[in-house]
Amino acid sequence: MDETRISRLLKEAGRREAPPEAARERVFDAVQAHWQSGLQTRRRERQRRWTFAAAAAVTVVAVTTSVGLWRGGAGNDSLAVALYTATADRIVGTVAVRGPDDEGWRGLASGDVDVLQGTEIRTSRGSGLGLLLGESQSLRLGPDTEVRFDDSLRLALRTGTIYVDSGRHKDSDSRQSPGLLITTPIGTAREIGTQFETHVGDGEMRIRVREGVVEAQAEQRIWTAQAQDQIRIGVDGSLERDTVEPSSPVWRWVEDLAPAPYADEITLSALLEWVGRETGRSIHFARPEVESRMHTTVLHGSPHRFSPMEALSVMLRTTDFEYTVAGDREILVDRRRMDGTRPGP
Amino acid sequence: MTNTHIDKATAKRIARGDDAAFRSVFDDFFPRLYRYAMAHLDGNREAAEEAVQQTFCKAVERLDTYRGEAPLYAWFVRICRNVITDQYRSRARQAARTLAVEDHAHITAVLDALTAPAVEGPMNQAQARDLRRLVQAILDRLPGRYADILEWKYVEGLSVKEISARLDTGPKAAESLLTRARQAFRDALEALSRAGSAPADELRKDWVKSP
Repeated sequence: MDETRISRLLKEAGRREAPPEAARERVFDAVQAHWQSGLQTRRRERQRRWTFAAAAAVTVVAVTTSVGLWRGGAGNDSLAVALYTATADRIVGTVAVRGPDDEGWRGLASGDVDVLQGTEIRTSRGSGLGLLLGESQSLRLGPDTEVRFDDSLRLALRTGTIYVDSGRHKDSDSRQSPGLLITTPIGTAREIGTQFETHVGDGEMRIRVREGVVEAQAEQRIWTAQAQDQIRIGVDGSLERDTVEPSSPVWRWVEDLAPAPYADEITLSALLEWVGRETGRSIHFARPEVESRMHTTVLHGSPHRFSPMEALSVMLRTTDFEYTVAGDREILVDRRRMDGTRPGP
Repeated sequence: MTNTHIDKATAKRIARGDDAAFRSVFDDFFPRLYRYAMAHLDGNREAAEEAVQQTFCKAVERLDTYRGEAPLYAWFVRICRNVITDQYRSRARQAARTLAVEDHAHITAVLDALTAPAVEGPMNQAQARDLRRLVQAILDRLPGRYADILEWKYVEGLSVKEISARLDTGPKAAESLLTRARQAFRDALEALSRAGSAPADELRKDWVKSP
């Protein structure tokens, strides 16, 4: 091919489009934070291994070793209390963490994270985090949010939105134990076995309860919010009450950060229970024999990385069942019709 | 030292925390991966941004597994392709119906049309789009600054002197780079042509069927 033809080809093709600068900056920030976080984790691991080796060699007293582990090998003399090892399950965009003795923020990567007393986490615009505490408690941080872990049952929400799913049903015995307390510049919200969201910003604290009960306190007054309640508390202690359905689109951001069950196999009933809880929709079966097969139908492959409705859609295709969403509040499951018609009521 | 040796050294430097190496690879690969993702995601900017971000995140996590068997950019592209496949899977959508020219066997038909000595009629919109995508995909795969040099010369119409000024080098070095860039572009086109040399009639038949 001669130069004339190459020239013609390149002219016809034109100049390659440059990506938007804003996109470049967003991706760069997120990737750089992720990269640095990974480097820091590896350094900590190396330091942790070194700490163990040194401890074995010189028989350092046990307390020294345990402080080293608490600190995650950070290598200074801080005695910050370890609250728990959380799991960053879902990260969207840029999420940063700062330990009580850290000078600056570092990117948070997926995986385990040591939460010490005073650890702070913040999300950027358009970002979000799904954090698992223990086996059943899920915290989800919306965009532009900043929280500090004050102790194992108290979180300071400086700004933004946090969603709590305590994993405890409102009628369970565990309701007797103290629930998580969220403090904000305006007031506090204490969960009593529930799923709820707290937002602070623009001079108000807003609480939305999806399930269970939340106790709110501000200006020496106490209010109770039940499932489907939304309350707004102003800086002057004024209150506005409203209603929010459990399946309302306002919960959509929470679904996108939902922790999926980790398992190679899951029964259809377990999948449906998870989807129902995360989407606020009730599950119904078109006929009794369909319901009875839910416990014996085993799905292979984890729904991890899918949102609940995506997981339902993808995983049900491998079975002879199908679903419809009725009135956006109910999920109806029936046998798949071979003629392609929708399942009836 | 071969290019993949350099790539391997770069990957090692990033894995060890070298910020300059990280920035250099990001600046070099981001625009190319973004265009690749855009072409495979129906021009959806948000999805492309997400795919590229995931690609970089996965790549920096696994850089210590890069063995230098292929150019580092090709390694990133493989990750990006998997990310995009996952995106489609997770959204339960049909696979992309757009023609992914750099992955596709139909390239022979495109190349036949593009490299014909004379243009017998105006290209239709689809042909023009495929041409653009194919040529730009080839440019994105060329090493170093070859793609920039070719665009400066043939799209922007810069002289060798002007190119040398942009490269901050002498005219002779610029001329030499231009020659090598042209050759690399020609080689890539011919390699694509060979790769897609299945029975031409079959390809053309498929070509007609594609959207």
